[in-house]
Order: sequence, then C-alpha cells, then structure tokens
Amino acid sequence: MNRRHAAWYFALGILALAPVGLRVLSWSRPEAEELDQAAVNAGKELFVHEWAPNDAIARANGGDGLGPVYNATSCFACHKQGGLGGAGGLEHNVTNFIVASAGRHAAQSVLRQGVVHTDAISPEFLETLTHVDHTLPRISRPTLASLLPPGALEGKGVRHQGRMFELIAKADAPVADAPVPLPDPVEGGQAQANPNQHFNIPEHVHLSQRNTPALFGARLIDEIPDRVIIAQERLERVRFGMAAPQSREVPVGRALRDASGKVGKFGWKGQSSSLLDFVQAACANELGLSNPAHAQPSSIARPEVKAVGLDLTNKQCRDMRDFIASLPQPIERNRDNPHVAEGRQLFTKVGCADCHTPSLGSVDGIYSDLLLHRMGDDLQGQGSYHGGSTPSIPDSPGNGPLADEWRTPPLWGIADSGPYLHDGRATTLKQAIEMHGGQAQASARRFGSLTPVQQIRLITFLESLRAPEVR
Amino acid sequence: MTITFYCTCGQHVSADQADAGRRAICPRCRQPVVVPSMKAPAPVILERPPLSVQTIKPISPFADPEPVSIAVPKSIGYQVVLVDETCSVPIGFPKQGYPLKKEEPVAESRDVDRELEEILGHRQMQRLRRPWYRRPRPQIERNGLECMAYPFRAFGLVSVLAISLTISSLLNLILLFTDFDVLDYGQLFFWGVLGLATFGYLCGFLHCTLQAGATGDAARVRWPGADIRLVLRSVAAVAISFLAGPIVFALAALWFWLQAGELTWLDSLLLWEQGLAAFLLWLLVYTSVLVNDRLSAVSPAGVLDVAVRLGWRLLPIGLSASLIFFVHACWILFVLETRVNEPAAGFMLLLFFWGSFLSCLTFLVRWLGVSWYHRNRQLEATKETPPAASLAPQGQ
Repeated sequence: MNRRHAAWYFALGILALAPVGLRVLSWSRPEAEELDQAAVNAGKELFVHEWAPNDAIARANGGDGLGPVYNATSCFACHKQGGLGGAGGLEHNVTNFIVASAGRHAAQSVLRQGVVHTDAISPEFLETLTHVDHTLPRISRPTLASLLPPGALEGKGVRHQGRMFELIAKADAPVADAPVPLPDPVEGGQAQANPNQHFNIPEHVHLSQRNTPALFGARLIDEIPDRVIIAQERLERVRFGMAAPQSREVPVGRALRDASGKVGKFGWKGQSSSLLDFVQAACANELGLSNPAHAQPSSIARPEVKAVGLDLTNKQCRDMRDFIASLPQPIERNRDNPHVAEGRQLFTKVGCADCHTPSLGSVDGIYSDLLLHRMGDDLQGQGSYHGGSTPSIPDSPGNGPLADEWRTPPLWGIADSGPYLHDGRATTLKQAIEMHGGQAQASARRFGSLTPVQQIRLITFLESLRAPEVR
Repeated sequence: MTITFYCTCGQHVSADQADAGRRAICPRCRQPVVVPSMKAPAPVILERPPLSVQTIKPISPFADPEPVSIAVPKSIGYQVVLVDETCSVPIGFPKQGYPLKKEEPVAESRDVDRELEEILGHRQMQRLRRPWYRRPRPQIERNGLECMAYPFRAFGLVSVLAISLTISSLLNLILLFTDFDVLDYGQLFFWGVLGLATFGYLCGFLHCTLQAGATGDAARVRWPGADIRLVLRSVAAVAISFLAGPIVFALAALWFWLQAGELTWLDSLLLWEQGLAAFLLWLLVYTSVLVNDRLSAVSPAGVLDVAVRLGWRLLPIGLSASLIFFVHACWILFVLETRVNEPAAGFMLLLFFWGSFLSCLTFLVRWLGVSWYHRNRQLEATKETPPAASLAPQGQ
C-alpha cells in the first residue's frame, strides 16, 4: 500500500516537473565556431592597416577610405597597450556629445548626439566643440581635464584618512599630437584654443570621453549566451531583495537590450550585442569606414556631405571580427602567490566581486557581470556611438542607459589597460576603486576601511590580471 | 485521558479518549453526537495537569450562586471562558492576576457587577447581560462560503500579523540594503527577534485555525497565546511541510526563472505551473501534518490518504488556492517593482498585500480543516452506532 502510494506520489511529481524539463531541453546551446586561419590573417591585415583617404582597399569596394572624420588611422593605433588588440591611452580618448533641448540631464529631449572626431581629411571637415555649441571653444581634441568639473580628477569618491590620491599628471598633460589646424572661427565661439584649459559647458550640452578598451578574450564574451547575462541580472536582484535594477544603493545590474531584444555585451554602455556589431560600429565611427551595418558619420562641420559606397564589405568585417576573436584570453599571473591569494579574498570580501564576478557562465576569470550599474553622479557620461539610435530615457529600465550607468568592464588584463574608468580619469588602480560611487559606493568605502597592507594586497591581486603576451 | 467538547446544544460533555470517533448520546438533549477524534485546542489546556485549581464564586447575575471549581493554568494560552454548565452562560474571564484567589470567599456586600465590568470592560459586560438565548452560538462552518467569514472573525489577529509582517519584511529589506560594517548589532538582534516572532505566530495562528476547524471547534478564534511550544511546533510543521516536496517545485521555478533568459509566454506559463504546484502541495502536506497531529504525516502515504479522504472537496479548494496564488503573486511582484520609486505607495501596497494574503490563507486552511471535520463526520456516520456510554456533563 505504502509503495503504491509512493509510486503515485512521485509519478504526479514528475508529471508536474516534466514540462519544465522538456522546455529546458529545447534551449539552444551555442557551439563555438572554429576560426578560419585565412580569415584571421586577413582580419589582422585590416586591423593593422594604415587607412588613408581613397584607400585602395576601400576604393575596391566603392568607398572613400578614411574619413571624412576619424579618430585614428588604424585600429592598432589605439588598441596596442599590452599587445595587439590591447587598450589605449588617454591620448586616444573619444569625445562624445549630447545636445539636449533643456537641461544637461534631460535625456528624453536629446536633439543631437555623436562623436567630436579629432581629425579630418581636410580642414573643412574638421569638427570642433564650437560645432556642437557655438559657445564652446574651437578645439577638436579637448583633454579630459578640460571637460570635467574642477577637482573631479582629485577623486571625490572616497578620501581615506585624509589622504588624497596620486596626482593625475597624465590627464592634465597636453596631447602628444601637434595642434591641428582649425577652420575659420565660428561667430560666438570662445576664442580659446588651449585644449587643457577648463571651459564652461552650457547646461544643455553634455560632453564626455571614452577610453579605448582592450579586446583580449572578446570571443569568450561574444559566446556568452544572453540567458547567462540575464540570469546574472536576476541573481543580483534576488540577492538584494528583488531591488530594482536601476537602484542607486545596491549593486543590482541591468542587462541592456538592443532594438532586437539582444543583450548588450560590448562597449562602455553595453551598446553592442555582438563582437561583429562592435567591430563595425568602431570602424565607422573611429575610422570613418562605412560598412553594411554602420554608415560612416558625416562631419558635424559639413553635415550636408554624405558618404557614398562602402569602405568595408561584410566579409572584411567578419575577418576583423575573426582576428579579434582569435586574440587570447588575458592571464592571471602568480595565482599561487599568497599575497595575490589574500588580495583575491579581500576582493570578494569588500564586495568588488558582487559586480566584477570572477566567472560568468562558462567563462572563468572574466571579473565582470557584463551588466549596467549606476556609478554615481561623479561618473556620468551620455552620448552614443550610434548617433542617436538609443536615446537614454531615465527611470525606464527597458530603454537606453542612464548617464551614470556603465557596463561592468571585465577586469581580466586590467594591469595592462590603464588608465582606468570609462574616460581614463583614474591613473592608478587604487584611485579607480576609490572613485567608484553609486551602487559601488559601499564597496569603495569598505576598501577605504582596509588597512594599507590589505589595500596593497588587493591591488597586488588586480595587478596579477595581465594581458596575454601578444605580439 | 478524557476528551471534553461541546454538544451542538451547548452542553459541555466529556468522554474517554478510547471513545474518540464513536457516536454517543448527549446527556442533555439526547441527540447523537460524535466524540471528536482529536483534541480541540481549547480542551488541550483543560486536559493538562492543572497548575492551580481555583474555586471562585460565579459573579455573573445569570449564574448559579454556588462556587465552581475550575482548572486554570498559570499561563493561559487560550482565552478561557468559564461556563455555567447548566445554561452555557459565560460568567467570567479569568486570567493571570485575576483578583479572586483560591478559597477566597466573596463578600456578599461587594459590587460584583462593578468589579466584573472593571475586569471585562463595558462592552463585554453589556454582551454578558444579554440573555443567553439571544446571543449567537458559533456553529462550525458548513462550506467554503461560510469559511470566508472566519478571517473577519479573526480580524484583529490578522491585522496585527499583517502589520508585523509588513514591518518585518521592510526591515529585512533594509538589512539587505545596509552595509553590515555600520550596522548596530542591537538593532539587528531586535529585527531578527521581531521577524522570527512574527513568523512563529503566523504559523501558530494557521495551526490553530486548521486544527480548530478539523475538530469542529467553532467557539472562538484560536491562537497560540503564550504557548511557545505550540509556536515552535507550528513553525516546524510549516517548514517540514515545505521541505517534504514543495521545495522541489519552488526550486525548479526559481532555477527556471533565473536561467530561462527572456521569458516567452510559454516560460511564464511554466513558471506559474511550478509555483502553483509548490503552493498546492504545501497546503496538502500541511493539512496532512496538522490533522494527523504528527510530523511523520508528510510521507506520501499520509498526504495521499488526506487527499483521497477529502476527495472532490479538494477541487474547489484547489481552484480557490490557485486564484489566490495567482492574484497575490502578481501583487507582490508589482509591489517589488514599485517600492523603490514610490516608498509610501509601496508600503501601503505591502501592508494590503499581507492583510489580503493572510486573510486568504486563513480562509483556505480553515476550509481545509472544516472539510476534514465534515468528511470525518460523514465517514463516522456510516459506521455502526456504538453504545452510548461514558458521556458525562463536564463539571459534574
């Protein structure tokens, strides 16, 4: 009798669980594609290729080559720190702008947004801040220090026992390149050409910079299924009592969905859902290379001049994607060193690992949840690479990122990717930690309360996360 | 051991426990009555070894002037009503610190009405003064519709529990948002105790509600009072009922929700199915534990036995439980989504959520208990009538 009861009981239970099991079996599991070595080699050629106006490669596709506006002449020009495909220095920062109809943070009323490119194929196309707003100075390559409020680089986040951080010499240093020739002055523009001097930015204009990220291990990130990132988002919500994803206090991230519903994985704002899209957007915006997914931007100095033809074909974009996908995963050196091990424990203890999760899905050592987190009022940056396709709408989780929302950057290879934070305002790792605000404020405070030796241990652990040795 | 209970005519009678479940004849109204197969919460106290025997003189104007001996535990969990056995008129509400002491004679000159009014309050006194035949005698509910009235009878308890649960859940949420480095451990202890006490009494209240229904006890709303052992047993019953099966579906639902990515309508449907399976199974296991009054009743045999015995009655209960589950799950999800942006509205929504959910849960467990009671009476009625014996009016 009891056995029959038990059989019935468990049969009913299995029957109730069966639909979920069947559904799980129907989930698609992405299979890693084998990279074609020929494509990788072709992609590498394109990656290091020095592009020029009317470049032969682009002309073969019917395009105009480099420009008319661009930030660099090759991918390698920026992605070179720690090896081919690495991060870029402060001198390669990209300046984004947003012009709103009212108020700096009124993102719902965005009129224009885009990138102020540092170079152009001819002076008539050269973009300056004056083209963004006539009250801004005629400079095309402002330094980070000139854009931030006075004192912002001194680390307003956390001061530990009255000590301030190291001086930020790099941010204030003049850019290495020679001053660019400026076009005729625009009426009303500030007669100022010193890119280092701070200037007043009108309320309705928002300027921010983006630092060049490293591309190591990008293939592993690309292969992470959306499900895994969404699972991490939900796990963080559960962990903090189902707190809202855009909470200001607790580290609960948000997966950004693009127009097709795919989860963003690349870019400082998580604006690209695939490595291919990221590559295509970068080619268009940084080099002015039109491709099937993204048209090259028109110069804001001559908006009436539109691009004709494609500079890159789909295959060439895929070749570049394959080359970047072939870049190895960053490495963790001295894993067994007791100081590094202690630092790793402290990293978890102070709460860094809440967002910089050591593994995501099947990817170990990524130290990121790839979710957007609110980082506080001091770390704001609006504007999109895509020129207005994803306007930010505050308090609307299903839409574009808020000004203070940033995708958790993977920390693998961080020791070879300075300066840090989205615009490179932190020159040291310690400074970067202390500048964390918003959802990471509590962790930054806990870091500040560690003893100096413990802080050094934690930094030692971070410094063990190195770029792979790529030639 | 003796079982004491009320006949439907109001006669308080006692019977030997060996006669539990058998039919007998009430010594007062001569009608057949089934000796309950398990103890009602109130008699549980009366059955315990008396901690102090008090002889008090009835002070109600309706009562017999002769003193009555009653067993009054020092720590009274249930509100005990002294009953004049001949007419069922409540004559007083003894509690700790009751002024009448053992063998203490009551001076004839005392104004007992005034003393009683001081103890009971004006409203209760007015109620006592009403003729007994005008006072409604609580009857056990006959169906689910009548069970809906039970949460209203327990409105005070439900309200206090809802407020406590709202405060506890908010404090626990605050704990999640608080940096433990700056947390005061005194506060943490206080919040923890408050949360545990609230949960314990919630379990105890549900325990009493179901068991009172299962034994046909309709006299009054039962709750654990100061009986901490009952509270602990109730918590254990709730926890073990959840661990013995429902947890599988709950974990399956949680895991599926975490891993499913963007939810399609099919995924949502599956999530509801798992959540509902967990809730319904928990109700069934919980009923099995309480009506059998032993934790081992969580076994498949015990649960299926309860299900089979309740039979078709489970269908309307299950449908109601599904509706309640669906509405409240949507409600709490809505509360969780809105509380950050609108704290005041979130608080009110949470308060109303707990009030509504507790009321519905009370209704459901009462319905289950009452269904069990009626089903047992039905089954007993089909058996051969045992010889009427050993029933004696209580207190004689």
